[in-house]
Amino acid sequence: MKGFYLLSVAMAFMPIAGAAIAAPAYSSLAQASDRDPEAMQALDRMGEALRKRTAIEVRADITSEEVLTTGQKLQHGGSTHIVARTPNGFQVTIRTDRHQRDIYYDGRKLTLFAPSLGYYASFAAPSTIRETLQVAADKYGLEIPLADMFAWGLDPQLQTRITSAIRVGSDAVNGQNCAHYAMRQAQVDWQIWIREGSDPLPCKLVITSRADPAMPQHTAVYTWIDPKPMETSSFTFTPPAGAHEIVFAPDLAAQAIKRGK
Amino acid sequence: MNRTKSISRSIALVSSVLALATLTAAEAMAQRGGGRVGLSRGGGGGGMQVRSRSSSNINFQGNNRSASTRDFNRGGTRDFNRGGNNNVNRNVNINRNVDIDIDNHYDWGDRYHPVARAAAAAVVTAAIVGSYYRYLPSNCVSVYRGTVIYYQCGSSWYQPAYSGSSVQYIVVNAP
Repeated sequence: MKGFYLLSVAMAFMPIAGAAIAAPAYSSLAQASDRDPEAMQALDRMGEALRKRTAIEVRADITSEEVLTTGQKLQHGGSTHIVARTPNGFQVTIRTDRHQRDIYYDGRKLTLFAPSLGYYASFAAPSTIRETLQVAADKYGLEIPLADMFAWGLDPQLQTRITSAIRVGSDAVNGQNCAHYAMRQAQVDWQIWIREGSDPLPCKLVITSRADPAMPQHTAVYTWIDPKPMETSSFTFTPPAGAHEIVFAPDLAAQAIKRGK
Repeated sequence: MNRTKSISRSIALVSSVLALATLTAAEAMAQRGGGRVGLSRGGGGGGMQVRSRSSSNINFQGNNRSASTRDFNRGGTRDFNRGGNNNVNRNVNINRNVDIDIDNHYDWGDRYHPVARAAAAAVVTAAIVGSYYRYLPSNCVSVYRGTVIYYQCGSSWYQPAYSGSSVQYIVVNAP
Protein backbone atom coordinates (compact mmCIF):
# COMPACT_ATOMS: atom_id res chain seq x y z
CA MET A 1 0.00 0.00 0.00
CA LYS A 2 2.77 2.35 0.94
CA GLY A 3 4.56 1.49 -2.28
CA PHE A 4 1.46 2.26 -4.28
CA TYR A 5 0.98 5.55 -2.50
CA LEU A 6 4.56 6.59 -3.13
CA LEU A 7 4.24 5.54 -6.72
CA SER A 8 1.10 7.59 -7.19
CA VAL A 9 2.72 10.63 -5.65
CA ALA A 10 5.85 10.12 -7.70
CA MET A 11 3.86 9.80 -10.92
CA ALA A 12 1.95 12.99 -10.20
CA PHE A 13 5.18 14.95 -10.04
CA MET A 14 6.93 13.24 -12.88
CA PRO A 15 6.34 14.65 -16.32
CA ILE A 16 8.58 12.01 -17.86
CA ALA A 17 6.46 9.22 -16.45
CA GLY A 18 3.33 10.97 -17.70
CA ALA A 19 4.76 11.24 -21.18
CA ALA A 20 5.62 7.55 -21.18
CA ILE A 21 2.02 6.65 -20.44
CA ALA A 22 0.67 8.86 -23.20
CA ALA A 23 3.13 7.50 -25.75
CA PRO A 24 2.38 4.42 -27.86
CA ALA A 25 2.74 1.14 -25.99
CA TYR A 26 6.18 0.42 -27.27
CA SER A 27 8.53 1.81 -29.84
CA SER A 28 11.67 0.07 -30.92
CA LEU A 29 13.16 3.40 -31.93
CA ALA A 30 15.04 4.51 -28.88
CA GLN A 31 15.23 8.23 -28.30
CA ALA A 32 17.83 9.47 -25.89
CA SER A 33 15.10 11.67 -24.39
CA ASP A 34 13.12 8.59 -23.39
CA ARG A 35 15.94 7.56 -21.12
CA ASP A 36 16.18 9.52 -17.92
CA PRO A 37 19.93 10.14 -17.54
CA GLU A 38 19.64 9.75 -13.79
CA ALA A 39 18.16 6.27 -14.20
CA MET A 40 20.88 5.29 -16.65
CA GLN A 41 23.60 6.57 -14.32
CA ALA A 42 22.03 4.69 -11.42
CA LEU A 43 22.51 1.43 -13.32
CA ASP A 44 26.18 2.17 -13.96
CA ARG A 45 26.72 3.14 -10.33
CA MET A 46 25.13 -0.12 -9.26
CA GLY A 47 27.39 -2.12 -11.60
CA GLU A 48 30.38 -0.30 -10.16
CA ALA A 49 29.30 -0.95 -6.57
CA LEU A 50 28.97 -4.66 -7.34
CA ARG A 51 32.27 -4.91 -9.19
CA LYS A 52 34.33 -3.09 -6.60
CA ARG A 53 33.56 -5.78 -4.06
CA THR A 54 36.11 -8.53 -3.78
CA ALA A 55 33.58 -10.88 -2.22
CA ILE A 56 29.82 -10.98 -2.13
CA GLU A 57 27.13 -13.02 -0.48
CA VAL A 58 23.51 -12.46 -1.35
CA ARG A 59 20.28 -14.32 -0.90
CA ALA A 60 17.42 -13.71 -3.30
CA ASP A 61 13.81 -14.62 -2.69
CA ILE A 62 12.46 -15.57 -6.06
CA THR A 63 9.05 -15.70 -7.67
CA SER A 64 8.93 -16.92 -11.26
CA GLU A 65 6.16 -17.75 -13.69
CA GLU A 66 5.43 -20.18 -16.47
CA VAL A 67 2.75 -19.80 -19.11
CA LEU A 68 0.82 -22.83 -20.31
CA THR A 69 -0.32 -23.13 -23.90
CA THR A 70 -3.76 -22.07 -22.70
CA GLY A 71 -2.34 -18.77 -21.49
CA GLN A 72 -2.81 -19.78 -17.88
CA LYS A 73 0.08 -18.76 -15.66
CA LEU A 74 1.69 -20.79 -12.90
CA GLN A 75 3.80 -19.18 -10.23
CA HIS A 76 6.74 -20.78 -8.44
CA GLY A 77 8.61 -19.60 -5.40
CA GLY A 78 12.15 -20.26 -4.34
CA SER A 79 15.41 -18.80 -3.29
CA THR A 80 18.87 -18.35 -4.67
CA HIS A 81 22.01 -18.07 -2.60
CA ILE A 82 25.12 -16.67 -4.23
CA VAL A 83 28.62 -16.59 -2.79
CA ALA A 84 31.33 -15.17 -5.01
CA ARG A 85 34.88 -14.00 -4.78
CA THR A 86 36.73 -12.06 -7.45
CA PRO A 87 38.15 -12.85 -9.83
CA ASN A 88 37.55 -16.55 -10.08
CA GLY A 89 35.15 -18.26 -7.70
CA PHE A 90 31.46 -18.58 -7.08
CA GLN A 91 28.85 -20.95 -5.80
CA VAL A 92 25.18 -20.55 -6.64
CA THR A 93 22.52 -22.56 -4.84
CA ILE A 94 19.09 -22.56 -6.44
CA ARG A 95 16.15 -23.98 -4.52
CA THR A 96 12.71 -23.59 -6.01
CA ASP A 97 9.40 -25.36 -5.58
CA ARG A 98 10.26 -27.44 -8.58
CA HIS A 99 13.95 -28.00 -8.78
CA GLN A 100 17.30 -27.74 -7.09
CA ARG A 101 20.57 -26.82 -8.72
CA ASP A 102 24.05 -26.07 -7.42
CA ILE A 103 26.56 -24.29 -9.62
CA TYR A 104 30.26 -24.25 -8.76
CA TYR A 105 33.05 -22.29 -10.40
CA ASP A 106 36.60 -22.47 -9.10
CA GLY A 107 38.59 -20.67 -11.78
CA ARG A 108 39.13 -23.84 -13.81
CA LYS A 109 35.79 -25.44 -14.40
CA LEU A 110 32.10 -24.84 -13.93
CA THR A 111 29.97 -27.65 -12.57
CA LEU A 112 26.20 -27.90 -12.57
CA PHE A 113 24.79 -30.35 -10.05
CA ALA A 114 21.21 -31.47 -9.52
CA PRO A 115 21.21 -32.88 -5.96
CA SER A 116 17.85 -34.61 -6.22
CA LEU A 117 18.77 -36.31 -9.49
CA GLY A 118 22.38 -37.01 -8.62
CA TYR A 119 23.61 -35.73 -12.00
CA TYR A 120 26.49 -33.35 -12.46
CA ALA A 121 28.29 -32.02 -15.51
CA SER A 122 31.28 -29.74 -15.91
CA PHE A 123 32.90 -27.67 -18.61
CA ALA A 124 36.40 -26.23 -18.74
CA ALA A 125 35.88 -22.58 -17.86
CA PRO A 126 37.86 -19.38 -18.49
CA SER A 127 39.88 -17.91 -15.62
CA THR A 128 37.47 -15.12 -14.63
CA ILE A 129 33.88 -14.97 -13.44
CA ARG A 130 32.94 -12.53 -16.16
CA GLU A 131 34.22 -14.66 -19.03
CA THR A 132 32.73 -17.76 -17.47
CA LEU A 133 29.27 -16.22 -17.22
CA GLN A 134 29.53 -15.36 -20.91
CA VAL A 135 30.45 -18.91 -21.91
CA ALA A 136 27.75 -20.35 -19.65
CA ALA A 137 25.07 -18.23 -21.34
CA ASP A 138 26.32 -18.24 -24.93
CA LYS A 139 27.59 -21.77 -25.36
CA TYR A 140 25.64 -23.74 -22.78
CA GLY A 141 22.39 -21.78 -22.48
CA LEU A 142 22.93 -21.81 -18.74
CA GLU A 143 21.35 -18.90 -16.96
CA ILE A 144 23.06 -17.80 -13.78
CA PRO A 145 21.04 -15.53 -11.50
CA LEU A 146 22.26 -11.96 -11.00
CA ALA A 147 24.81 -12.43 -13.79
CA ASP A 148 23.89 -9.39 -15.83
CA MET A 149 23.82 -6.99 -12.89
CA PHE A 150 27.61 -6.94 -12.77
CA ALA A 151 28.00 -5.75 -16.34
CA TRP A 152 26.31 -2.36 -15.98
CA GLY A 153 28.79 0.39 -16.72
CA LEU A 154 31.11 -2.08 -18.39
CA ASP A 155 29.15 -3.24 -21.41
CA PRO A 156 27.82 -0.22 -23.34
CA GLN A 157 25.53 -2.54 -25.33
CA LEU A 158 23.33 -2.99 -22.28
CA GLN A 159 22.65 0.75 -22.21
CA THR A 160 21.82 1.01 -25.89
CA ARG A 161 19.27 -1.78 -25.62
CA ILE A 162 17.18 0.31 -23.22
CA THR A 163 14.53 2.27 -25.07
CA SER A 164 12.94 3.93 -22.06
CA ALA A 165 14.11 4.51 -18.50
CA ILE A 166 12.26 6.37 -15.77
CA ARG A 167 12.66 6.92 -12.09
CA VAL A 168 9.42 5.97 -10.41
CA GLY A 169 10.17 7.00 -6.83
CA SER A 170 11.48 5.58 -3.59
CA ASP A 171 10.29 2.46 -1.81
CA ALA A 172 11.28 0.60 1.31
CA VAL A 173 12.51 -2.90 0.41
CA ASN A 174 13.59 -5.16 3.25
CA GLY A 175 13.91 -2.11 5.48
CA GLN A 176 16.20 -0.30 3.02
CA ASN A 177 15.33 2.87 1.19
CA CYS A 178 15.61 2.03 -2.47
CA ALA A 179 15.12 4.11 -5.61
CA HIS A 180 12.68 2.52 -8.02
CA TYR A 181 13.41 2.62 -11.76
CA ALA A 182 11.43 1.20 -14.67
CA MET A 183 13.01 0.30 -18.00
CA ARG A 184 11.82 -0.96 -21.35
CA GLN A 185 13.70 -2.74 -24.08
CA ALA A 186 12.89 -5.20 -26.85
CA GLN A 187 10.77 -8.07 -25.48
CA VAL A 188 11.32 -7.07 -21.87
CA ASP A 189 10.07 -4.52 -19.36
CA TRP A 190 12.00 -4.46 -16.16
CA GLN A 191 12.08 -2.65 -12.86
CA ILE A 192 14.89 -2.29 -10.46
CA TRP A 193 15.11 -0.95 -6.95
CA ILE A 194 18.58 0.29 -6.02
CA ARG A 195 19.70 1.07 -2.50
CA GLU A 196 19.91 4.81 -1.87
CA GLY A 197 23.07 6.27 -0.38
CA SER A 198 26.73 5.38 -0.74
CA ASP A 199 26.34 1.66 -1.44
CA PRO A 200 23.97 1.33 -4.40
CA LEU A 201 23.31 -2.41 -4.45
CA PRO A 202 20.22 -3.87 -6.07
CA CYS A 203 17.33 -4.29 -3.59
CA LYS A 204 14.83 -5.87 -5.94
CA LEU A 205 14.46 -6.81 -9.59
CA VAL A 206 11.31 -7.47 -11.59
CA ILE A 207 11.60 -8.74 -15.17
CA THR A 208 8.44 -8.89 -17.27
CA SER A 209 8.65 -10.69 -20.59
CA ARG A 210 6.63 -9.12 -23.39
CA ALA A 211 7.50 -11.95 -25.77
CA ASP A 212 4.37 -13.75 -24.58
CA PRO A 213 1.04 -11.87 -24.26
CA ALA A 214 0.60 -13.45 -20.83
CA MET A 215 3.77 -11.62 -19.78
CA PRO A 216 5.47 -14.02 -17.38
CA GLN A 217 7.31 -12.22 -14.63
CA HIS A 218 10.36 -12.93 -12.52
CA THR A 219 10.83 -11.21 -9.17
CA ALA A 220 13.94 -11.31 -7.01
CA VAL A 221 14.22 -9.57 -3.64
CA TYR A 222 17.82 -9.41 -2.47
CA THR A 223 19.24 -9.67 1.01
CA TRP A 224 22.91 -8.69 1.05
CA ILE A 225 25.04 -10.45 3.63
CA ASP A 226 28.55 -9.55 4.82
CA PRO A 227 30.61 -12.30 3.23
CA LYS A 228 32.67 -14.58 5.39
CA PRO A 229 36.29 -15.30 4.40
CA MET A 230 36.28 -17.87 1.61
CA GLU A 231 38.71 -20.60 0.70
CA THR A 232 39.25 -21.41 -2.95
CA SER A 233 38.39 -24.99 -2.12
CA SER A 234 34.86 -24.01 -1.16
CA PHE A 235 34.19 -23.31 -4.85
CA THR A 236 35.42 -26.68 -6.01
CA PHE A 237 32.76 -29.29 -6.52
CA THR A 238 33.28 -32.65 -4.88
CA PRO A 239 30.76 -35.18 -6.17
CA PRO A 240 28.85 -36.90 -3.40
CA ALA A 241 28.78 -40.68 -3.30
CA GLY A 242 26.35 -42.08 -5.83
CA ALA A 243 26.38 -39.02 -8.08
CA HIS A 244 26.74 -39.57 -11.82
CA GLU A 245 28.77 -37.43 -14.15
CA ILE A 246 26.89 -36.52 -17.30
CA VAL A 247 27.70 -34.03 -20.06
CA PHE A 248 26.42 -30.72 -21.34
CA ALA A 249 24.43 -31.25 -24.52
CA PRO A 250 26.62 -28.94 -26.69
CA ASP A 251 29.70 -30.93 -25.68
CA LEU A 252 27.95 -34.17 -26.49
CA ALA A 253 27.07 -32.81 -29.92
CA ALA A 254 30.67 -31.67 -30.45
CA GLN A 255 31.97 -35.14 -29.52
CA ALA A 256 29.57 -36.74 -31.98
CA ILE A 257 30.75 -34.47 -34.79
CA LYS A 258 34.37 -35.20 -33.92
CA ARG A 259 33.70 -38.92 -34.19
CA GLY A 260 32.10 -38.30 -37.55
CA LYS A 261 28.81 -39.78 -36.54
CA MET B 1 -3.65 -40.32 3.82
CA ASN B 2 -5.03 -43.61 2.53
CA ARG B 3 -7.40 -41.80 0.30
CA THR B 4 -4.62 -39.64 -0.95
CA LYS B 5 -2.53 -42.67 -1.75
CA SER B 6 -5.31 -44.42 -3.58
CA ILE B 7 -6.17 -41.33 -5.61
CA SER B 8 -2.54 -40.97 -6.36
CA ARG B 9 -2.29 -44.57 -7.49
CA SER B 10 -5.29 -44.41 -9.75
CA ILE B 11 -4.03 -41.18 -11.25
CA ALA B 12 -0.76 -42.91 -11.97
CA LEU B 13 -2.53 -45.77 -13.69
CA VAL B 14 -4.69 -43.46 -15.76
CA SER B 15 -1.55 -41.57 -16.65
CA SER B 16 0.11 -44.66 -17.97
CA VAL B 17 -2.88 -45.47 -20.14
CA LEU B 18 -3.02 -41.93 -21.43
CA ALA B 19 0.68 -41.95 -22.10
CA LEU B 20 0.15 -44.92 -24.38
CA ALA B 21 -2.89 -43.38 -25.98
CA THR B 22 -1.09 -40.18 -26.84
CA LEU B 23 2.22 -41.50 -28.00
CA THR B 24 2.58 -39.34 -31.02
CA ALA B 25 1.71 -36.17 -29.19
CA ALA B 26 3.94 -37.09 -26.31
CA GLU B 27 6.85 -37.79 -28.57
CA ALA B 28 6.35 -34.58 -30.49
CA MET B 29 6.28 -32.63 -27.26
CA ALA B 30 9.30 -34.41 -25.94
CA GLN B 31 11.19 -33.67 -29.11
CA ARG B 32 10.34 -30.04 -28.95
CA GLY B 33 11.57 -30.08 -25.43
CA GLY B 34 8.42 -28.44 -24.18
CA GLY B 35 7.09 -29.44 -20.83
CA ARG B 36 3.70 -30.90 -20.33
CA VAL B 37 1.69 -30.65 -17.21
CA GLY B 38 -1.71 -31.79 -16.14
CA LEU B 39 -1.63 -35.38 -17.21
CA SER B 40 -1.59 -36.54 -13.63
CA ARG B 41 -5.05 -35.10 -13.28
CA GLY B 42 -6.19 -38.00 -15.39
CA GLY B 43 -7.53 -35.89 -18.19
CA GLY B 44 -6.70 -33.26 -20.69
CA GLY B 45 -5.66 -35.62 -23.45
CA GLY B 46 -1.97 -35.46 -22.80
CA GLY B 47 -1.78 -32.46 -20.58
CA MET B 48 -0.82 -28.90 -21.20
CA GLN B 49 2.45 -27.61 -22.38
CA VAL B 50 4.49 -24.74 -21.07
CA ARG B 51 4.89 -22.20 -23.85
CA SER B 52 7.06 -19.65 -22.10
CA ARG B 53 8.54 -18.67 -18.78
CA SER B 54 10.08 -15.76 -17.03
CA SER B 55 13.82 -15.25 -17.12
CA SER B 56 16.03 -14.28 -14.20
CA ASN B 57 18.31 -12.12 -16.33
CA ILE B 58 17.27 -9.09 -18.34
CA ASN B 59 19.43 -9.85 -21.34
CA PHE B 60 19.37 -13.61 -21.28
CA GLN B 61 18.69 -14.67 -24.84
CA GLY B 62 17.64 -18.15 -23.85
CA ASN B 63 14.31 -17.07 -22.50
CA ASN B 64 11.46 -19.09 -23.96
CA ARG B 65 13.91 -21.33 -25.68
CA SER B 66 13.09 -24.49 -23.86
CA ALA B 67 16.51 -25.98 -24.37
CA SER B 68 18.07 -23.37 -22.17
CA THR B 69 15.63 -22.55 -19.48
CA ARG B 70 16.47 -22.94 -15.87
CA ASP B 71 13.19 -23.72 -14.21
CA PHE B 72 12.21 -26.79 -16.01
CA ASN B 73 13.19 -30.29 -15.35
CA ARG B 74 11.09 -33.34 -15.21
CA GLY B 75 13.70 -35.96 -15.69
CA GLY B 76 13.48 -37.46 -12.24
CA THR B 77 15.65 -40.53 -12.48
CA ARG B 78 16.34 -41.47 -8.90
CA ASP B 79 15.01 -44.95 -9.43
CA PHE B 80 17.37 -45.58 -12.29
CA ASN B 81 20.38 -44.94 -10.20
CA ARG B 82 20.42 -47.42 -7.43
CA GLY B 83 23.82 -48.67 -8.37
CA GLY B 84 24.90 -51.67 -10.40
CA ASN B 85 23.12 -53.01 -13.40
CA ASN B 86 19.63 -52.38 -12.18
CA ASN B 87 16.65 -53.15 -14.28
CA VAL B 88 14.07 -50.46 -14.54
CA ASN B 89 10.61 -51.83 -14.72
CA ARG B 90 8.02 -49.37 -15.70
CA ASN B 91 5.07 -51.07 -14.08
CA VAL B 92 6.83 -51.51 -10.82
CA ASN B 93 7.67 -47.87 -10.68
CA ILE B 94 4.20 -46.75 -11.52
CA ASN B 95 2.58 -49.01 -8.98
CA ARG B 96 4.98 -47.95 -6.32
CA ASN B 97 4.17 -44.45 -7.32
CA VAL B 98 7.24 -43.09 -5.63
CA ASP B 99 7.46 -39.80 -7.40
CA ILE B 100 3.96 -38.72 -8.15
CA ASP B 101 3.03 -36.45 -5.35
CA ILE B 102 -0.64 -35.78 -4.91
CA ASP B 103 0.15 -32.38 -3.49
CA ASN B 104 1.77 -31.49 -6.76
CA HIS B 105 -0.70 -32.29 -9.47
CA TYR B 106 1.26 -30.30 -11.96
CA ASP B 107 4.56 -31.52 -10.74
CA TRP B 108 7.24 -31.28 -13.35
CA GLY B 109 10.11 -30.70 -11.02
CA ASP B 110 12.90 -33.05 -10.17
CA ARG B 111 10.55 -35.23 -8.20
CA TYR B 112 8.62 -36.14 -11.25
CA HIS B 113 9.22 -39.62 -12.50
CA PRO B 114 9.84 -39.86 -16.21
CA VAL B 115 8.43 -43.31 -16.61
CA ALA B 116 4.86 -42.50 -15.72
CA ARG B 117 4.57 -40.24 -18.71
CA ALA B 118 7.18 -41.84 -20.89
CA ALA B 119 7.34 -41.04 -24.54
CA ALA B 120 7.07 -44.73 -25.28
CA ALA B 121 6.96 -44.37 -29.03
CA ALA B 122 10.70 -44.74 -29.09
CA VAL B 123 10.30 -48.38 -28.19
CA VAL B 124 8.12 -49.14 -31.17
CA THR B 125 10.23 -47.36 -33.74
CA ALA B 126 13.93 -46.79 -33.24
CA ALA B 127 14.55 -43.28 -31.98
CA ILE B 128 16.53 -40.93 -34.18
CA VAL B 129 20.09 -40.35 -33.03
CA GLY B 130 20.49 -36.81 -31.78
CA SER B 131 16.86 -36.28 -30.82
CA TYR B 132 16.06 -35.07 -27.33
CA TYR B 133 13.51 -36.39 -24.91
CA ARG B 134 12.26 -35.14 -21.61
CA TYR B 135 11.66 -38.66 -20.46
CA LEU B 136 13.02 -42.10 -21.02
CA PRO B 137 10.76 -44.63 -22.68
CA SER B 138 9.77 -47.72 -20.79
CA ASN B 139 11.87 -50.81 -20.13
CA CYS B 140 15.21 -49.12 -19.93
CA VAL B 141 18.33 -50.58 -18.41
CA SER B 142 21.15 -48.42 -17.14
CA VAL B 143 24.53 -49.37 -18.55
CA TYR B 144 27.93 -47.95 -17.74
CA ARG B 145 30.73 -47.46 -20.20
CA GLY B 146 33.54 -46.37 -17.99
CA THR B 147 31.99 -43.75 -15.77
CA VAL B 148 29.44 -42.68 -18.35
CA ILE B 149 25.88 -43.72 -17.74
CA TYR B 150 23.65 -44.75 -20.63
CA TYR B 151 20.14 -46.11 -20.77
CA GLN B 152 19.35 -48.87 -23.19
CA CYS B 153 15.67 -48.88 -24.06
CA GLY B 154 14.81 -51.55 -26.59
CA SER B 155 17.10 -50.98 -29.54
CA SER B 156 17.75 -47.33 -28.66
CA TRP B 157 20.39 -45.85 -26.41
CA TYR B 158 19.97 -42.66 -24.44
CA GLN B 159 22.49 -40.49 -22.68
CA PRO B 160 21.41 -37.92 -20.10
CA ALA B 161 22.78 -34.42 -20.70
CA TYR B 162 22.20 -30.90 -19.46
CA SER B 163 20.50 -28.59 -21.87
CA GLY B 164 20.75 -25.31 -20.04
CA SER B 165 19.97 -26.48 -16.52
CA SER B 166 17.43 -29.09 -17.66
CA VAL B 167 18.24 -32.75 -17.96
CA GLN B 168 17.33 -34.23 -21.32
CA TYR B 169 17.80 -37.70 -22.70
CA ILE B 170 19.58 -37.67 -26.02
CA VAL B 171 19.42 -40.60 -28.39
CA VAL B 172 22.93 -41.79 -29.15
CA ASN B 173 24.52 -44.59 -31.11
CA ALA B 174 25.20 -47.75 -29.13
CA PRO B 175 28.30 -46.97 -27.07
